[in-house]
Amino acid sequence: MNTIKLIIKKIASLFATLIIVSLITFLAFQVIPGDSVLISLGTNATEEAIEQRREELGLNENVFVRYFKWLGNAAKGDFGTSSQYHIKVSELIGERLSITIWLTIISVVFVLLISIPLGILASNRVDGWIDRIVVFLTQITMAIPPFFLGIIITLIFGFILRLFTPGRFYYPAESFNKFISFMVFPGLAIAIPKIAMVVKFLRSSIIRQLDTDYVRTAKSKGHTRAGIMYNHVLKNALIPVITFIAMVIADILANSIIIEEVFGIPGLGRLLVMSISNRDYAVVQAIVLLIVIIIVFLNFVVDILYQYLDPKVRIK
Amino acid sequence: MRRRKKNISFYLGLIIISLVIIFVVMGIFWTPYDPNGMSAALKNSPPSLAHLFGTDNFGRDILSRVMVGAKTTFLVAFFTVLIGASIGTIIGALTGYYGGLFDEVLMRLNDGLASFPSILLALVFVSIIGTGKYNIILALGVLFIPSYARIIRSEFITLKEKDFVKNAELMGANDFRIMFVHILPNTKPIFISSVSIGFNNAVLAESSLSYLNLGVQPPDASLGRMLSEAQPYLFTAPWYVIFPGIMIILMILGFSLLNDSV
Repeated sequence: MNTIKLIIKKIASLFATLIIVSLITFLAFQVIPGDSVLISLGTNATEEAIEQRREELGLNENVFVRYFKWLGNAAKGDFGTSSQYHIKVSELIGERLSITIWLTIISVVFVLLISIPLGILASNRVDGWIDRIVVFLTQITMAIPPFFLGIIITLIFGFILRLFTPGRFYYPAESFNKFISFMVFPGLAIAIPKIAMVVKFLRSSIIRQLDTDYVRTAKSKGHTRAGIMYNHVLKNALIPVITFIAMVIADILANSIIIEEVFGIPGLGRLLVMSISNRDYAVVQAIVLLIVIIIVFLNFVVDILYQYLDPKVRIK
Repeated sequence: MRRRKKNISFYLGLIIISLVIIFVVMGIFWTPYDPNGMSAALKNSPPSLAHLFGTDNFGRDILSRVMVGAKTTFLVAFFTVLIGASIGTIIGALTGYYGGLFDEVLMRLNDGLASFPSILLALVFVSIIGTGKYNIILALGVLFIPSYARIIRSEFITLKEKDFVKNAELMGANDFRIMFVHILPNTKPIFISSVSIGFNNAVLAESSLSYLNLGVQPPDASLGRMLSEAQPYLFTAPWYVIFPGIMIILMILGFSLLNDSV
């Protein structure tokens, strides 16, 4: 009974958040200085042509009517037409979205595979030499902007070690293997600073658990170090890390916008940057909304997972 | 043991930040060469005694350009944090102290905004108000308001129940005095650390936007823009990429070392 109530509450708040983020995305582009009609028609357009275009685009209606129309169309996958490419925004986004999602997945896999073992290894002996090296490295790597890391990776792995050809992107349809082996490098560029963040977070989460009474009790009962770590501490220490990783995934998705530019990947981020330069607002709006919706859903899933995993939250 | 380790990173951070600030201040008054002075003879020459960081594809001195670029990045970050922290603090103080409908509405808006990754919001702002130094400061400054408001608000909510506040109320102090003389100074530790995190985020955001050519525009030099201009010469003139990049890293590293040890 309680669980059902809770899930209904969570779903209600999911919808509320979706309404708020879509409203923010929509309203943000209503205050643009300069008339989008004038931009598309040129400054010497006639009075009637402007009026006709405004009517066509539905700009003469109330802002909320336009919001609900836009939202309704967006829900059906119709984001309007690109003013730059003169094709449907949804067509423009289609394949690019899947490329960006692949990049995000590759980065997340790197983060999970590397950061969790490394965090456990470091906190196994706090202030030991492994720990010190890990802490030092996390401190440094967190300070490196991902796009600079991308450039350095291009220099080292692309130009010096020749493990990939910089700028030679393969579409998944061309060759899926080549696509993945290219995407590994931008994936690393995004993942490395995030690995440092997760390691730091996990390490302090484990250290906090090691200080608790139940660990002392387990020790006094004669459990081994490793036994305490794997049977007791990790279970508790990993719970807050899950929420943190959801944040990191959102960040990875956002960072892919910049990394795509560094490696010349024709994904969503590149389209976004180009559309901003071209003042192609329908495309910008659609991409922003899409990214935010993915993030909101991600947070929703993690929130539910969290309820399920953490007994302290479950009782409430 | 722990204490000493903390001190080492504190002093390291202090040294890095002092060097960065000296570098930036020097860049305001003096650079070894004209940062925009071109020379066909010196195209892409490697670091030497005359040009410590080498020269770029136009034969411009990279050291001079890094100095000027660091100044732009530093000042943009400074004013961004100034706008975000001051307005955010006022909003956080008012909403935290009074609560009510205004607080409720702002917090809902805040929750919504929190779903947007900050670089995405920055891009939205830039696509609306345009690029350039002042627009970037405005965009990032406004962008930073919610996070400061949230932090200060939650501090105010806890602190306003404390005895010293009740005491001040009984003494007849007015709300303004209670908020800004009694409560605000107690938020100092968390405020300082959020300022240094904010500074780092601002440096990162500015350089990312400028790298995407959506930030600071020429003739203003910027570290991010230098990196995007340098990328085509990555193989032939790696020093062009490396020095501006290291400058960004030092700025961020210095403040995060300081912040970790406070």
